[in-house]
Amino acid sequence: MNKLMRRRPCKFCAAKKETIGYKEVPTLKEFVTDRGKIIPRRISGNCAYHQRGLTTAVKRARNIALLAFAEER
Amino acid sequence: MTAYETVFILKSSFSTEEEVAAIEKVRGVIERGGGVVSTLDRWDRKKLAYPIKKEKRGVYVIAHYEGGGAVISQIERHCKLEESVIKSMTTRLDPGALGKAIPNPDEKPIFFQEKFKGLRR
Repeated sequence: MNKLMRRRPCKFCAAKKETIGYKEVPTLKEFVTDRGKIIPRRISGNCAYHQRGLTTAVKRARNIALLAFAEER
Repeated sequence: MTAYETVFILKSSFSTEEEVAAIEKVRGVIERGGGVVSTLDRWDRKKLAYPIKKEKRGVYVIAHYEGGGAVISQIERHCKLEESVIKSMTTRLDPGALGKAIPNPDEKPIFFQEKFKGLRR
Protein backbone atom coordinates (compact mmCIF):
# COMPACT_ATOMS: atom_id res chain seq x y z
CA MET A 1 0.00 0.00 0.00
CA ASN A 2 1.17 3.46 -0.90
CA LYS A 3 2.52 5.60 1.92
CA LEU A 4 0.02 8.37 1.17
CA MET A 5 -2.90 6.04 1.50
CA ARG A 6 -2.05 4.83 4.97
CA ARG A 7 -4.82 5.43 7.47
CA ARG A 8 -3.93 8.27 9.82
CA PRO A 9 -4.98 7.97 13.43
CA CYS A 10 -7.53 10.45 14.70
CA LYS A 11 -5.56 13.26 16.37
CA PHE A 12 -8.15 13.75 19.09
CA CYS A 13 -8.39 10.08 19.96
CA ALA A 14 -4.60 9.90 20.11
CA ALA A 15 -4.56 12.86 22.51
CA LYS A 16 -7.46 11.35 24.50
CA LYS A 17 -9.42 14.53 24.10
CA GLU A 18 -13.14 14.06 24.36
CA THR A 19 -14.47 17.48 23.39
CA ILE A 20 -13.26 20.50 21.47
CA GLY A 21 -14.38 23.93 22.56
CA TYR A 22 -14.82 26.91 20.25
CA LYS A 23 -12.45 28.99 22.39
CA GLU A 24 -9.49 26.71 21.70
CA VAL A 25 -8.44 28.76 18.72
CA PRO A 26 -4.84 27.50 18.33
CA THR A 27 -6.10 23.92 18.14
CA LEU A 28 -8.93 24.79 15.77
CA LYS A 29 -6.53 26.60 13.46
CA GLU A 30 -4.66 23.36 12.87
CA PHE A 31 -7.77 21.89 11.26
CA VAL A 32 -8.49 24.82 9.01
CA THR A 33 -6.71 25.70 5.74
CA ASP A 34 -5.04 29.08 5.35
CA ARG A 35 -8.14 30.08 3.42
CA GLY A 36 -10.27 29.31 6.46
CA LYS A 37 -11.92 26.13 5.26
CA ILE A 38 -12.33 23.09 7.47
CA ILE A 39 -9.92 20.33 6.47
CA PRO A 40 -11.87 17.24 5.41
CA ARG A 41 -11.77 14.06 7.42
CA ARG A 42 -10.12 12.09 4.65
CA ILE A 43 -7.12 14.45 4.83
CA SER A 44 -6.88 15.05 8.56
CA GLY A 45 -7.71 11.46 9.47
CA ASN A 46 -10.08 12.43 12.28
CA CYS A 47 -12.73 9.98 13.33
CA ALA A 48 -16.37 10.81 12.59
CA TYR A 49 -17.14 11.64 16.21
CA HIS A 50 -14.35 14.13 16.63
CA GLN A 51 -14.77 15.64 13.19
CA ARG A 52 -18.39 16.38 14.04
CA GLY A 53 -17.36 18.10 17.28
CA LEU A 54 -14.64 20.00 15.47
CA THR A 55 -17.07 21.24 12.83
CA THR A 56 -19.42 22.70 15.45
CA ALA A 57 -16.51 24.28 17.28
CA VAL A 58 -15.15 25.91 14.12
CA LYS A 59 -18.60 27.20 13.18
CA ARG A 60 -19.12 28.67 16.63
CA ALA A 61 -15.69 30.26 16.58
CA ARG A 62 -16.53 31.83 13.22
CA ASN A 63 -19.77 33.20 14.53
CA ILE A 64 -18.03 35.05 17.32
CA ALA A 65 -15.16 36.29 15.12
CA LEU A 66 -12.44 34.09 16.59
CA LEU A 67 -11.97 32.47 13.20
CA ALA A 68 -12.60 33.98 9.80
CA PHE A 69 -15.27 32.71 7.44
CA ALA A 70 -12.90 33.27 4.53
CA GLU A 71 -9.33 34.46 4.63
CA GLU A 72 -8.00 36.80 1.97
CA ARG A 73 -5.06 35.57 -0.01
CA MET B 1 -32.29 25.06 35.22
CA THR B 2 -29.82 24.71 32.41
CA ALA B 3 -26.25 25.94 32.28
CA TYR B 4 -25.42 28.43 29.56
CA GLU B 5 -22.38 30.23 28.34
CA THR B 6 -22.62 33.58 26.62
CA VAL B 7 -19.75 35.38 24.92
CA PHE B 8 -20.09 39.11 24.38
CA ILE B 9 -17.87 41.33 22.30
CA LEU B 10 -17.70 44.86 23.64
CA LYS B 11 -16.40 47.89 21.79
CA SER B 12 -12.68 48.14 22.28
CA SER B 13 -12.66 51.93 22.52
CA PHE B 14 -13.99 51.72 26.07
CA SER B 15 -12.13 52.78 29.17
CA THR B 16 -11.81 50.31 32.03
CA GLU B 17 -14.68 51.93 33.95
CA GLU B 18 -17.00 51.83 30.96
CA GLU B 19 -16.10 48.19 30.44
CA VAL B 20 -16.90 47.32 34.04
CA ALA B 21 -20.18 49.21 33.78
CA ALA B 22 -21.15 47.28 30.64
CA ILE B 23 -20.27 43.97 32.31
CA GLU B 24 -22.28 44.83 35.41
CA LYS B 25 -25.24 45.72 33.23
CA VAL B 26 -25.17 42.21 31.82
CA ARG B 27 -25.00 40.77 35.34
CA GLY B 28 -28.11 42.79 36.20
CA VAL B 29 -29.96 41.44 33.17
CA ILE B 30 -29.17 37.84 34.07
CA GLU B 31 -30.17 38.25 37.69
CA ARG B 32 -33.38 40.09 36.88
CA GLY B 33 -34.27 37.28 34.49
CA GLY B 34 -33.97 34.78 37.32
CA GLY B 35 -30.58 33.39 36.36
CA VAL B 36 -27.74 32.52 38.70
CA VAL B 37 -24.41 33.93 37.58
CA SER B 38 -21.51 31.57 38.07
CA THR B 39 -18.76 33.59 36.43
CA LEU B 40 -18.76 36.80 34.45
CA ASP B 41 -15.30 37.86 33.39
CA ARG B 42 -13.39 39.81 30.83
CA TRP B 43 -11.46 37.39 28.66
CA ASP B 44 -9.21 39.50 26.47
CA ARG B 45 -9.00 42.31 24.03
CA LYS B 46 -8.69 40.62 20.68
CA LYS B 47 -8.46 41.41 17.03
CA LEU B 48 -11.67 40.27 15.37
CA ALA B 49 -11.29 37.77 12.56
CA TYR B 50 -13.56 39.97 10.48
CA PRO B 51 -14.94 43.46 11.13
CA ILE B 52 -18.29 43.66 12.93
CA LYS B 53 -20.17 46.95 12.87
CA LYS B 54 -17.04 48.64 11.55
CA GLU B 55 -15.06 47.52 14.60
CA LYS B 56 -11.77 45.73 14.04
CA ARG B 57 -11.05 44.90 17.66
CA GLY B 58 -13.20 43.89 20.54
CA VAL B 59 -13.15 42.99 24.21
CA TYR B 60 -14.37 39.45 24.82
CA VAL B 61 -16.44 38.85 27.93
CA ILE B 62 -17.61 35.37 28.97
CA ALA B 63 -20.55 34.66 31.24
CA HIS B 64 -21.44 31.31 32.75
CA TYR B 65 -24.83 31.07 34.40
CA GLU B 66 -27.77 28.84 35.06
CA GLY B 67 -31.33 29.70 34.30
CA GLY B 68 -34.44 28.93 32.35
CA GLY B 69 -34.96 29.70 28.70
CA ALA B 70 -36.47 33.09 29.53
CA VAL B 71 -33.08 34.44 30.60
CA ILE B 72 -31.71 33.80 27.13
CA SER B 73 -34.28 35.92 25.41
CA GLN B 74 -33.67 38.69 27.96
CA ILE B 75 -29.95 38.61 27.29
CA GLU B 76 -30.30 38.51 23.56
CA ARG B 77 -32.66 41.45 23.68
CA HIS B 78 -30.20 43.35 25.86
CA CYS B 79 -27.35 42.66 23.45
CA LYS B 80 -29.35 43.87 20.48
CA LEU B 81 -30.35 47.12 22.17
CA GLU B 82 -27.10 47.83 23.95
CA GLU B 83 -24.72 49.86 21.80
CA SER B 84 -21.64 48.70 23.69
CA VAL B 85 -22.17 45.04 22.69
CA ILE B 86 -21.22 44.45 19.09
CA LYS B 87 -21.91 40.72 19.02
CA SER B 88 -22.92 37.93 21.35
CA MET B 89 -23.42 34.20 21.24
CA THR B 90 -25.11 31.88 23.73
CA THR B 91 -24.40 28.18 23.87
CA ARG B 92 -25.67 25.45 26.12
CA LEU B 93 -23.01 24.41 28.58
CA ASP B 94 -22.15 21.10 30.14
CA PRO B 95 -22.99 21.68 33.84
CA GLY B 96 -19.60 20.22 34.78
CA ALA B 97 -17.86 23.06 32.95
CA LEU B 98 -19.64 25.82 34.88
CA GLY B 99 -17.19 28.40 36.14
CA LYS B 100 -14.27 27.38 33.94
CA ALA B 101 -14.89 30.15 31.49
CA ILE B 102 -11.61 31.79 30.60
CA PRO B 103 -9.24 29.66 28.54
CA ASN B 104 -5.60 29.44 29.53
CA PRO B 105 -3.86 32.41 27.83
CA ASP B 106 -0.70 30.52 26.88
CA GLU B 107 -2.59 27.54 25.58
CA LYS B 108 -0.73 25.73 22.86
CA PRO B 109 -2.26 23.57 20.17
CA ILE B 110 -2.36 20.06 21.52
CA PHE B 111 -0.96 18.58 18.36
CA PHE B 112 2.21 19.68 16.74
CA GLN B 113 1.48 18.09 13.47
CA GLU B 114 3.05 18.86 10.20
CA LYS B 115 0.78 21.33 8.42
CA PHE B 116 -1.29 19.62 5.77
CA LYS B 117 0.94 20.26 2.82
CA GLY B 118 -0.07 20.96 -0.70
CA LEU B 119 -3.69 21.47 0.19
CA ARG B 120 -5.09 24.33 -1.82
CA ARG B 121 -8.70 25.07 -1.30
